[in-house]
Amino acid sequence: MKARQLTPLDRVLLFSRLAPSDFRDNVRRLAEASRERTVRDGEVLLAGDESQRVVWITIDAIIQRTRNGQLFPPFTPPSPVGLIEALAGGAPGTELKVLEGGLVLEVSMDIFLDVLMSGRRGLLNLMSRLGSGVVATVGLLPQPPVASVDIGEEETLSLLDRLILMSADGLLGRVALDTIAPLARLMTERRYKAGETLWTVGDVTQSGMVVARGRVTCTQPDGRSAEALPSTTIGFLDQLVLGKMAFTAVAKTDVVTLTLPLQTMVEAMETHEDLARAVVYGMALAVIDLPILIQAKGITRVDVVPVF
Amino acid sequence: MSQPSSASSAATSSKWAAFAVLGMTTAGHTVAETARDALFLASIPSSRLPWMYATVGLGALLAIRGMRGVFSRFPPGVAFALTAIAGACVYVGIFAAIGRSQSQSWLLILYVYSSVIGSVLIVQFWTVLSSSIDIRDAKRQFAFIGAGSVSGAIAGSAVATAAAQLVDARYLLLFAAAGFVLAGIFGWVSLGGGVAKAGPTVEPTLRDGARALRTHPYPKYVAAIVVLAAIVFTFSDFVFKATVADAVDAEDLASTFALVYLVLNVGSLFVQLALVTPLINRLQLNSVSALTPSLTALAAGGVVALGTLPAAIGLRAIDGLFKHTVHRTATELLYVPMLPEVRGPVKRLIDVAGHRGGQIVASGAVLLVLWLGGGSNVLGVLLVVSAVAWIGVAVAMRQPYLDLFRRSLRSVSRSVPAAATDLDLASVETLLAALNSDVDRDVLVAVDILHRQGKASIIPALILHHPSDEVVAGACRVFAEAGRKDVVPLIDRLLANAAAQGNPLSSRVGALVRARFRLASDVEAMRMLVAEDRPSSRAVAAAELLMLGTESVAAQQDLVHRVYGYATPCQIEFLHTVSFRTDVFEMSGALREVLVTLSQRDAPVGEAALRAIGATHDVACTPIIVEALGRRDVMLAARDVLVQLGDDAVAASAAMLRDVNVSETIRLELPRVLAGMGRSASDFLTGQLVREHTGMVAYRVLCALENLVVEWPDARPEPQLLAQVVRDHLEAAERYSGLASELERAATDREDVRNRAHPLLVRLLRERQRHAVQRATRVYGLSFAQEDFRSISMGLSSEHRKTVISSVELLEASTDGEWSAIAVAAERLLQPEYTSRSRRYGAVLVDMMSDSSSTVRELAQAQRDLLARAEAT
Repeated sequence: MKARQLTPLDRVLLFSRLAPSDFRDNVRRLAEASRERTVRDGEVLLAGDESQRVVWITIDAIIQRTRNGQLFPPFTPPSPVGLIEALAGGAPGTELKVLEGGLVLEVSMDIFLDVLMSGRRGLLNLMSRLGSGVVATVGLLPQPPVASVDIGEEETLSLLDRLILMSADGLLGRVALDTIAPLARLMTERRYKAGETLWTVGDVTQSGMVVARGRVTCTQPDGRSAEALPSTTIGFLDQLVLGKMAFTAVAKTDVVTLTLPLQTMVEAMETHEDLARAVVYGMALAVIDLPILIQAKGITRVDVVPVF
Repeated sequence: MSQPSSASSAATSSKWAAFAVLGMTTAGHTVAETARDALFLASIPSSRLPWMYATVGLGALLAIRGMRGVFSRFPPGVAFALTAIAGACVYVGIFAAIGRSQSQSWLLILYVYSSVIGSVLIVQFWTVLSSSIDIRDAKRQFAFIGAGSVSGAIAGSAVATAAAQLVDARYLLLFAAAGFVLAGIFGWVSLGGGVAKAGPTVEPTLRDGARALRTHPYPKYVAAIVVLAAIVFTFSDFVFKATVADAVDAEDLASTFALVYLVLNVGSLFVQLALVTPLINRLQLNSVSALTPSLTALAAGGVVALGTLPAAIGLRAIDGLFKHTVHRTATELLYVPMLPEVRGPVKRLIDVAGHRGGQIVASGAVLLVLWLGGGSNVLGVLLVVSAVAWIGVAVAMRQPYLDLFRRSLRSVSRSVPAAATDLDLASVETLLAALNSDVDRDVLVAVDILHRQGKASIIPALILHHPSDEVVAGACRVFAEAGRKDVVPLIDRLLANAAAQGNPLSSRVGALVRARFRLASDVEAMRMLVAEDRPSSRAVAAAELLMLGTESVAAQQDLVHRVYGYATPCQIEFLHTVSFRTDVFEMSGALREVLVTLSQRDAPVGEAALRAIGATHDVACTPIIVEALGRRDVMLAARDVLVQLGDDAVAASAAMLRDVNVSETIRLELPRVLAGMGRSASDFLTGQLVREHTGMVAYRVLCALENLVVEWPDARPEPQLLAQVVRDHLEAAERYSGLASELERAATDREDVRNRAHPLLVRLLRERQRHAVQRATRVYGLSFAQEDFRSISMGLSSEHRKTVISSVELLEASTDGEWSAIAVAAERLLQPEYTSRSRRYGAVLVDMMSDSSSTVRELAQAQRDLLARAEAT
């Protein structure tokens, strides 16, 4: 490949190895939308604070990724470079620098994302792979909320309360209120008495929930536990990545939750492109430091999308 | 709310501080220049001026180099202050030296030194400033800050004029020193502190600048402009001074220069305050840059034609009125969009070497002209040529300038199709090798490509032995479509083996049977298979018989009833067989009945039935397929099938999209479907974008049109067709911006309304404002291919301010006339404090209650309820 320009066939074969979903239309689309570019030694493809809307496929160039000053093993051809940064809309602190000049293919992130999210299967596939990364990065036990939420004392949760709760979530907080409002309306309010079990480890619920009031104790089979406080989202990632609950959830106090079937969420993402992009964006942002984590924790294998 | 206010007041105070520092610096420099010119031209002939220009150029280069070592350990702001104070001390020293000695050498030193220190300080000042500001703020503030320079020049001229009446020109140097000391102290306080937070900086070398200049295209244009501007201003300066020195007595020179400079500086203040901001806001930056050389060329033409003192003064007037106002501001703005790591070294190189290099070149030219006996006329011609070259560079830099922002958005054109080429020998070898790959996907891709390239004949028949059912199915399809009858004996053998091994349900068997009948139709064999108990085979045979239409009506009805009784896998095999048919055939009523009935089932049968209907190209079934768009489990199949039907289904799909009584789920899917149908749907979609009132459907129509015009560039709608849609979006943006601003303003002094609903309301309104601008941008972009407006639109919602600014810049550059309102609305996203009017909080909520968005209405109502409850308790 080094001596000649890439033919359309070369591109199709290349993308057929890289693209995770249906090859017949998507691979052709990626191949047609890609543009050849020769990069020079030392050229910086992505620097620090720039937004990132392009994915590069290395053909014979060697590219080095640096994150906050930490070097990573170079991308060996052929591999996509900058995908995770592009999914996250850019990654301050990340630099992609050409170690050895050569040929790369540039593909617009819009098109790459369209392909990755084509159809429900593609969307679920992408989310589940990204979810694996999130799990490897932060685990499945609930994380403490970024800030405490202030919702009303009324019996039934209003749209306002629902939006406040969803806005406090790490992923949905980035999504426009107009987009999450339909989801907020679809969520089902459920109440649990203190001591009541929401689910046990291994349950297949096909839904997740946001804790609206009260506290939920989540305990993994290995004994580790954490408390889910108001505005914490639990269960979605478990169902998405594992297909079952990874911990047992018991109401520590009287609890009110908002439940949403995973299927409804995915359907909404199919309908609302910006919701899909925002969720993917948020998940990608969560796994942006995954390589650092892999090095630090000595993780040998993470089941993420092969194109990472 | 407090944050924007404090940020705003901080920005305002820093703007005034920069104004003051630049004013004091320029005042000191102007006084020094007056003293310099008066003392120099009173004792030394003007023919020595070109030598001075050249020496100044070299002196500045050496000074910058020397000072880099001294000041590199300080932040730029502190370095500026130290340079100013040191510069003042040197003036005092020169003042003393001139007083003690009558030697002309001190006058020569004064000439060189005053030029060098002035330009060094100005360069340092603007470097500090441009490193801490972005292009949008720069465009807003540079004109004001630049007015500091003009004000300082006026003040300096006034001081010089007054002082020249009272004391010898030498004493003006003490006033200059005082101005520098004040600038240094104030600069230390206001600029030094701010920059010091960033810590010590590494000063770029001139070599760094040269390297950056080589590797980046845009700075080359800026460098060319600076060099050409230096040449033009040097010629202009010489022509003016030489003419004045000839026409005015030596003892009157100081007062003459002071008077001319004062008048011009007052005029330049007017230019700075009245013209610079409108010019920068209304013209492209490169056009602003071309303005000064255009006027200079005209004035130089006057000098060539008339050769009189008024003509020379006219030339100087252009220099005096525009050099430190329009030209300086435009040139400084040209640096701002550069990446920081490029801007630092490049600016240093261009400002010092570029500017001085231009002066040296111009000085050499003047000397040469004088040596050859030429005069102002010849220099006037050279001046015109240089100015025209400057104009040329300014015009040519538009694209590189915009490319900086495009790079910031990191967009790649969505319409870069790879050139279709025939397979060469090497490619065929690659594909044949791929047929042996362990990866099924590689094999399938190779089979597919060979078929599409008309090379199915070279696919080995033995691929039907492949262990993957998927590969065998793919190969069977290709063999059947390519008419490879040579594979029939092998298929028969494989089917016989499968029957012997008792594997009747395999999808492999179904694929083989389908290919067999397609390649060699055998009605008797089909009839036999239908009666057998091998599920895959009988399903395929039943489908083939129904498609052939050779059976009697009763026999067809019997087949239909058999199909209804099949198990799900068998029904799917039946439907796959119908889908397998690619040629046009007349569909029997029985077959249509079974397909329509099965299409009502859930996936996967319903999905397979829809695909089968699509394969029959039966347009009569279009409404059924469109209805299926509303069923989540079969929606994707329905979408594909409609696209496959193409032009034949446009009318029915368009009618459904136009009908507001059709379910929203279906209407949401139809735009994408219509876009997939091709060029024939574009006019309808354009019309629908104008008349559609459901926000989400309109958005889908917009997305569909965007995809369509990429595929069919000639389908781009005329901009005027979409003008009303753009206006509607901009009005919405204006409305939401106003509502959000009013809410924020009304809440500043009312703690009771700043509850949990308030920030959510403001956020919702701001988001809707941004979305409206984004929609307007994308709708406008439908008509124009020169920019990727989708990327620009996405850039507007970026969390990175730099990206938002790039989008605004590109919008500003890509819109004109009535469309420039889009850029204005985008710019407003950067200024959230914008307020159109001021009403009470409750009145704004009432207004929101009539909004078209249910979310806005609901949240406004929730806030009213909260406030009412709070008031009641």
